[in-house]
Amino acid sequence: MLLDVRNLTVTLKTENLEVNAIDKMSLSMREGSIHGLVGETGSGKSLFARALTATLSDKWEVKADRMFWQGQDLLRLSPEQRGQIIHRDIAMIFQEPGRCLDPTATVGEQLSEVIPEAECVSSFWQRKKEIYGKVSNLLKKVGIKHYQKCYESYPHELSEGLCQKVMIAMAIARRPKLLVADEPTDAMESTTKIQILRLLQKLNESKNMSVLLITHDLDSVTQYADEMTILYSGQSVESGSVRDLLKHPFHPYTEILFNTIPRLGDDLKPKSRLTTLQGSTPPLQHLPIGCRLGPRCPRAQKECVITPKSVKLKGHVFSCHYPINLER
Amino acid sequence: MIVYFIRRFNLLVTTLFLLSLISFSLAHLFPGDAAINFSGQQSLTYQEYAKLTEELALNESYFVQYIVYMQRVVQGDFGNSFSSDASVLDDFMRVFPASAELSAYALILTAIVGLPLGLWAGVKRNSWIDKVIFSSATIANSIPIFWMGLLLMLLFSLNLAWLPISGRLNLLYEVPSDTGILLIDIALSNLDNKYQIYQDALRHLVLPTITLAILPTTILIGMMRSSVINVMATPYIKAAKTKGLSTFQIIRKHVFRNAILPIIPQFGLLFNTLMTSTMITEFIFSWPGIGHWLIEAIYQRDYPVIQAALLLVSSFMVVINVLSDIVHTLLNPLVRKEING
Amino acid sequence: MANNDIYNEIQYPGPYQLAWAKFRADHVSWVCFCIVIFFIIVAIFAPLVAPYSPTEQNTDYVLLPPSWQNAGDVHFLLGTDDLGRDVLSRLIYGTQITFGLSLLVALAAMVVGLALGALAGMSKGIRASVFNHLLDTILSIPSLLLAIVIVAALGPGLFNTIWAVFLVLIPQFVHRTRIAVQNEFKKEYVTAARLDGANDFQILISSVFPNIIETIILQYSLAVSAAMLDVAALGFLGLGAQQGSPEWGAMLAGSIDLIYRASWLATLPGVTMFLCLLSVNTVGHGLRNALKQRSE
Repeated sequence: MLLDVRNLTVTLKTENLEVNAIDKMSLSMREGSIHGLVGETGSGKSLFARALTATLSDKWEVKADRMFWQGQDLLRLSPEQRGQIIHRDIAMIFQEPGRCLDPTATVGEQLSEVIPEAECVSSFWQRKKEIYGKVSNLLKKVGIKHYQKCYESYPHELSEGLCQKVMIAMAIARRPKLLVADEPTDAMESTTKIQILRLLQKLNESKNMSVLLITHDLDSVTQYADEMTILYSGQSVESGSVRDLLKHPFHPYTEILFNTIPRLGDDLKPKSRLTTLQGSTPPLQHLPIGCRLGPRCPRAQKECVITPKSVKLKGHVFSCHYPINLER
Repeated sequence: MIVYFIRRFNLLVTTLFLLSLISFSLAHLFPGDAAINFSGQQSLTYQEYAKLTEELALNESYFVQYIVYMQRVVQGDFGNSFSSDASVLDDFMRVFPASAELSAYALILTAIVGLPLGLWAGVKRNSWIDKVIFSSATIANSIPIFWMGLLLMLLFSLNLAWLPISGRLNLLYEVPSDTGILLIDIALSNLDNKYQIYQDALRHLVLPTITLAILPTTILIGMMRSSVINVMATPYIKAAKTKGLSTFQIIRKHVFRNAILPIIPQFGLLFNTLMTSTMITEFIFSWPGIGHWLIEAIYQRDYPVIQAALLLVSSFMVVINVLSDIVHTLLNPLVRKEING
Repeated sequence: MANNDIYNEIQYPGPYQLAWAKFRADHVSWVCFCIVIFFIIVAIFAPLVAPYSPTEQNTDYVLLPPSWQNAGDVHFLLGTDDLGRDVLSRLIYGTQITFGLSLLVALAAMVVGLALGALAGMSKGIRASVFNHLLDTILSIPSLLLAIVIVAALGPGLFNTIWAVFLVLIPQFVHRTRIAVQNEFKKEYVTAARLDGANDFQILISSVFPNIIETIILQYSLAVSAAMLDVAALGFLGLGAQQGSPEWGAMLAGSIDLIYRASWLATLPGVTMFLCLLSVNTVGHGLRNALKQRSE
């Protein structure tokens, strides 16, 4: 196991409010896999990534039964040690890459500063040339043809897709074991989106770099990820291999989620309604107790006011009192 | 880019033109005779007056008068001072270095104190250090500068008697004025007790410089702090944190540059404050600079001097404003992008 | 009908209420706001509050130190000056002049500046460009220098000072309003209102003004403190209120000659003015913070 998180709870603490934005969520990743983390807006996907990389502000409190990174519990380590491990092994890319690059520095400058000093072998006066070589290599690796031009450009002169590639180049400079991609293709054109996702897949295969793909785009997860975890309002709903989940979802939410994607094969009548879940996601101030899907769930019963335990069955982990597709 | 420079230049010229127009109309608006206000020559015989009126084209239309006025301004002829009867330009050149020297030291002090404190407060936002820095800046910002000068004088000159009250130099010393900038003049002079003179000059400098620097410093701290806070909240700083750069590296490489860029165009505002403060500081400490000169001129109803001072000082301000704008454009790639389309 | 909507029960306060609540929650700003109110009351009721007339000369009590010093007298709480005038009364009447007049002058400048700024913000083409150049020119002149020049043209005196400060403040209001109006006019909701058939004037009144009112209030607080500083500075330089007037700056200027013998004459008006300026500035700052937090 590369990453094994059990019962992670992230609490938002303000003067008059204390909310568990993430409530007892679990997630585990195998080494070298692409893991999709899916959920609606505000379900705590990005929060998870930031809790993992310890970049949350003081307003948030992170607790977990365990947060194992290659067998080491991150939460037991001192912040410095934890920071070292995270910097060494985990890299992150974000949505809106154009805004994640310093607008006043050239791409080359920004890439040069992430090249680890220890990797430079040449003497002091050749350092600059060596770093330039390394940076162009990185740019070539992420599929930028005109790396020379890109090196000298300012971020605002590049397209969003190119910026994301630069961010990826920056992320892989330290050869991380895990790349956390936080909605990397949000608000991108579909061709650019596919380019970026393919690039991630290629890097995953060629460098054995695991990818945690955080997105609300179900299509891309089903296409590129090996495993996936579904979040609803900060609770993990179900996780397992993508193929299993597609075939036999155990949790009602999973099934509804997949059904919302209109497929070509289905014979939809003209002007008929598409499948949706009634209601809307609850705001953070008004989270229902127990299973947070409760008020909207078609199968909900009295018992659902108690948070269901997660059950492991046939490689799935799910948490529901009344699972579907399961003969009792 | 060239279009941008032409437009800036255009703005500069138009602004200067309007300023000259204001200055020109002042001679007519001020009480007294326009010919006397323009030339500064008071005791005239009738023939001389007629000749002057002819020279200044005062019987012609305002347009012609303005042209004549501008010709004189370009030649550096601002008339004579009522009180000293010397050429206004000569007087100006005599007092300008003293003001420039004082302002320059105050500006250096402002930058040395204001930038790091603002940066520190902004980076450590909401910590106690931020609160201390920011509230002291707010408090200092509310002290009227003339009172501040009085208080410093009361404390350090009168009660403690550490520092001299007024002037640039003890009257015992006489330093020939070559450049007008005292510290350089002392170095150039061939007096034997240079060390003592330096000490005396510096002691005279302390209070005015501090008084002058306080207000711009507090403004700079405020500007820098809010700018740093804005930068710290941007996605690229958050991204930089996950890249494994140390806090110091992030501040040095990303925060400082991005925070200081939006401040550059506000430099004009800072300079404006400095200029206003200079006038009052010079008045309090009897510093023989422009402010002192100008206020004396108003007491004496020395209209040619007022007129010239307004034109010269505000032209200087306009040039500073345009320059800071251009520097900002040259340094900030984002603005360059907007201009180049 | 039974209401099944469980999420509707909380009431969201309106934007102004929210800003006000945020402002109240900030204790420092709240205290300063009370101080400002106190100063306003003092300024309005100065003749009732002050124990003596500001010009009344008690020749028996000349240069009396404040009452907490040994030589002081309780009848003259803050001492007397070189002509035996009660310092406290002079400070109270000074509030009327320096602070009260600044409030009014800033208000007048705001009204004029707002109208001109709105006009400038909506005009286009050559008219706007001429206007902008003119404005940039005036803004580039230091305000005190401009005030000094205006006073020089009009002649010294309190009334002329007020005129000068009024004229100096207008361009700043025009500048702020113009930029705010221009920015607001670029936004989509204005376009939407325009598509609904609203004309410029309607948009200005119903859409733009409510959204720029924060900027205006903020600028007003800045203008009040700038006006106070300018009035007092001119008084201090002897160009504004005449020597002998209870204006704070003029009082300070009068104290310079006596600074050896009666330091309280230099400190007391300064402290009062500092307190007043600090409160105004802090209230302005608190307002800005409250409005900023509201939008976050």
